Amino acid sequence: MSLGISFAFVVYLFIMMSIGIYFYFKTNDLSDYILGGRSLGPGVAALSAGASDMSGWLLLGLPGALYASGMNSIWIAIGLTIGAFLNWQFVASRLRIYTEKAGNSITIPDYLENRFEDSSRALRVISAFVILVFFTIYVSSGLVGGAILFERTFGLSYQTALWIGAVVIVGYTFLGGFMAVTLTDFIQGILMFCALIIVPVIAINLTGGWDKMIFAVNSVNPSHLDAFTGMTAMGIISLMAWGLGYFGQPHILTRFMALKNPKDAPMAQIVGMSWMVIGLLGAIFTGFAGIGFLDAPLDNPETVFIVLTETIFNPWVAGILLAAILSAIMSTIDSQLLVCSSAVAEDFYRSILKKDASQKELVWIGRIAVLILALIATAFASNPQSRVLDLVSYAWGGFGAAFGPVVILSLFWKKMTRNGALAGMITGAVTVIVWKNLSGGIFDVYEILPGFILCTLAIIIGSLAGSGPSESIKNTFDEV
Amino acid sequence: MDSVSLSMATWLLIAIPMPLTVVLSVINYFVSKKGEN
Repeated sequence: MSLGISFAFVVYLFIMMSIGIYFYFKTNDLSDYILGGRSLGPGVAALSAGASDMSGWLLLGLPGALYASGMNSIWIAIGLTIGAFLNWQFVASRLRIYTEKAGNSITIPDYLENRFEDSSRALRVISAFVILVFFTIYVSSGLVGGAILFERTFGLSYQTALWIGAVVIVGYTFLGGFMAVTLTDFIQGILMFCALIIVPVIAINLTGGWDKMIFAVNSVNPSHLDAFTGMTAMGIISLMAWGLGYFGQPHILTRFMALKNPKDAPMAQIVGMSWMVIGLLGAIFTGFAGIGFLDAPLDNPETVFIVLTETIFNPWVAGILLAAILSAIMSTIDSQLLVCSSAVAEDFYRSILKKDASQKELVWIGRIAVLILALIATAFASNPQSRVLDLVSYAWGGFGAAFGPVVILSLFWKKMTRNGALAGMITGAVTVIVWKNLSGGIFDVYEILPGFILCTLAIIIGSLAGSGPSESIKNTFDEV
Repeated sequence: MDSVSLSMATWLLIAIPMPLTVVLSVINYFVSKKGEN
């Protein structure tokens, strides 16, 4: 471990914690804590949505996949780009407007309840339950990623690394809430962006330029240059289907809801999509450059970004670039913890246990929820053999299938009813869980695809079977 | 060395769908601006 790398890490973590403490003193009510009181400008909203979306996967997983198997790994990047684009294009602005019209909703469960005027609390409770289950798993997989990075960089034991990472991440989410999280996300987004441009460009240059790199990759394995090598139609569809997940990710959708002005959505879309496309291309070419630049093959392909950085740059610069990985992991976990805390404070505590809870009380319930959930997630993560990617794809698929079609149709289909939404949500979640546990033939397709389709069908059937939405629901729909 | 390159289909995959989303976002921005005026 070098002094330069440690110093950069410590400075970086110190800045993140300071932001948390600063916003601790500025948070007055639950809406501030959960949603920052809808005050985000387009740039912060866009980078924050991007950073909380892209976990360590962008700097570890994708470059690693490219390094290990070549260009046939770009399908997932293409699927995600298209999904993110459609989400900005069709969901962002309308969701922002609708959540405000529908009882000034500040969470997805809140929105669903108000959108369908559900007095039974069923929609709110079931959606909050789905959020808690899938995010606890998601958060724990992120903590594992953070632990591995700390372990590698500082030479700590896995357990120590895990606890240090957990304390820092939970610390500033606990204190600062949404504003701290979005501001740190913004800084983290910029750091990730710079790292993903600098590392591949310098590595390709040092290899002797683009042609030399292609030549080097070709000499390792010519099929690495072809996106269709070893791909079946089902494989391509499965990878592209990742894009469907966007419409149902609560931690990303809340960024749309927090936009100060819905008219800022198109500008945010430009910033968000540019960031994403350049980041993904950077990750792709980092993996590619690794094949050409590094002589000995890596034991763990996912360390290609780390090894390239440590090899090319002096430790002071490397420390800053490696902090980008930590950024990617932290910015995803903190957003997810925050959504969980809102599910507990808003959807369970205030709506079921104590209807007249004060704002101060709710902020504290939210904070305590962050703490407890983080403890559970850390306990899950304490097994060093935990498989990160499996859990991520599970949670991503679960949210995409349970919430994706519900969110889209609730925004665009006037005849959708509460029963349709309930049927869809349950069908989507159950399909993902069942499909995941089956294998062979069609069951090898990524579970989000059948989940998404069956959820959509359940919504349509459930909505048309009943007596249709009330007049006031239709009126609100027309106003949006 | 000249004969070695990314396959044409791979290049098209990288070059078209991803940057296209950015271009469409920019177009969307100007269309929505125009709609406001």
